[in-house]
Amino acid sequence: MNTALYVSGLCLMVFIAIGLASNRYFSKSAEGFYLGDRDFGPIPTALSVGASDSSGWVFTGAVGFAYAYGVSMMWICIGYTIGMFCNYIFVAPALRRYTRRTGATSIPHYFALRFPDEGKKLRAFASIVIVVFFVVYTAAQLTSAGKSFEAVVGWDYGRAVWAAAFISAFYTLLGGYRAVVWTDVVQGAVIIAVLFFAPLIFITYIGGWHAFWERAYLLDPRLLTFASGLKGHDGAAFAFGLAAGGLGLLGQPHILQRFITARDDATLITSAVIGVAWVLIQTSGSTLLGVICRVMMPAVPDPEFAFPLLVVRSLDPLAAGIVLAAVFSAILSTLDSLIVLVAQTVQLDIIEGVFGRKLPERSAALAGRAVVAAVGVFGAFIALQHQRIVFWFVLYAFAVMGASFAPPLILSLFCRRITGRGVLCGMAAGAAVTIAWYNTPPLKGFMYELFPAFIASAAVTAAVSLFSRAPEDAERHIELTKR
Amino acid sequence: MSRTPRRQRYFDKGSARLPLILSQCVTIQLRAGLGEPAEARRDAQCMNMPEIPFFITFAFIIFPALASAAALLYYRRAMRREKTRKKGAGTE
Repeated sequence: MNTALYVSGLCLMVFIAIGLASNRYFSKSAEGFYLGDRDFGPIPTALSVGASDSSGWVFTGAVGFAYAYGVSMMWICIGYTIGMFCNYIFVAPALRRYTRRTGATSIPHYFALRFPDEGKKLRAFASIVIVVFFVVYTAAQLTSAGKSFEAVVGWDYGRAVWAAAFISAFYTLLGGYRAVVWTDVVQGAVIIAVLFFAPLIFITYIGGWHAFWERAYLLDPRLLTFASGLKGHDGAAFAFGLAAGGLGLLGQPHILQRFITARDDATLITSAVIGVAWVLIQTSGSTLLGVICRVMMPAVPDPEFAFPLLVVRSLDPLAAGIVLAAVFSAILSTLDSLIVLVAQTVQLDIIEGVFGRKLPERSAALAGRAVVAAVGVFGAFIALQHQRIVFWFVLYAFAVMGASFAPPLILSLFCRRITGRGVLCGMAAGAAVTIAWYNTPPLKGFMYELFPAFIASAAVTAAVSLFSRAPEDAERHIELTKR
Repeated sequence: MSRTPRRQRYFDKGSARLPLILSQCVTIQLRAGLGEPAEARRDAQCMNMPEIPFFITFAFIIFPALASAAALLYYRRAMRREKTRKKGAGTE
């Protein structure tokens, strides 16, 4: 056990050191610190998108879900693959061109420049949504870290949450965006290698593809059905709700930030292929690992840490250490992305953008660090107060972001008739419907809240825009998104 | 020097056996942790699942193949368009 822990600790230190070393090569301006000089090639862009998106959910929440509900998890694979592909084909190139030409540094800044009439309100609202729900997202990651530490190391959950918060905040304090991206690249490579090879090894061991599914069938035939045994409308709604989660990828600020910092259009074209491969391996790997855990350990107290337990029980300490490093990497790579984006939002969008206060360099650096520490503390506090199931906790924050930002962003990138007021109302509708749906038990049981909230946000954005006065300079803004 | 002797030397040095040795190590460790794979195969043979459901074949094989093909097709077409655009911009 100790060997596995030392190996995983060593791996994590190497990953972080690589990220921090890259820190030397960016300019010291705010754009250098928060955007890495907008000069990332295809591999850093695609792997960073994948690593920051995948989070602790991959090895805990998703595996736990597949453990309980079987291959119905694959609806998420189908939805996410289509969502990621659409993101790279439609949203990413237009957003990159517009932000590069106008100098926008973030999604709230993009909205402010695209709709100058409602600029401040839009920037303020988008920033508040990001800060509030990224803290919730951070709490979900810390819950995941706490559960994994508890399962693997045997630490007390609370102590483990504080340790994870401290580690992630500490190394985010030291490095800027470029450090975060390069750490993501190394961590992403390890995560994807584990998700690809671990199922292959375990399935081969069990006796092959057919024998594996037969054993799963014997345990519970519902594991092999498309909607976990649900039939008719219930089954269709369950499957559709999971697949519709892919829509959320179109509006995640930490993913969109990677598109803003891509070098050029060719970078995004290559990243699309890597990104699709990433999602396929990630979601298929998580699903298979969940069913493998069920087959090999049918009675686990909490399915969400079945995979770390399986690794510790069955693998050589050296191999287990590397796999555990991948588990912790998945958590840390998302945590650092969230924390750095919240710091950027507070400093550039709220303090400088909304309140119009340009801080002196020293105060800005202090403010950024204070925000990083505060996000860590708040996230840990929520994770300790509301220890929920990681899968649903992550999906809740993911749904709010997706429904608030995706429809207004897509419509504003491609439609001339969209107005600032429409976007503001659309964002508010997306967030409100998600929160209301999530907190209404019959609705929550019927379908994942993202799809209805997404539709509501799109409808409100379009309707309010049509009833508002048409914007005068829309043509110029749309031209900025084209080649 | 021709290519065959060099390849022969590679096999003679045993480098090609490395993947085999690694997989054996993993299997030995798995046996220690989880029991003999033969037991798993024997258990599996006792069960009566007629065939793997179509959804599993679709989700794990057909859909990934289709998605990868679509991504590669997009890559080829988009890159060709990008090169043409760059060439056009260069001659203007």
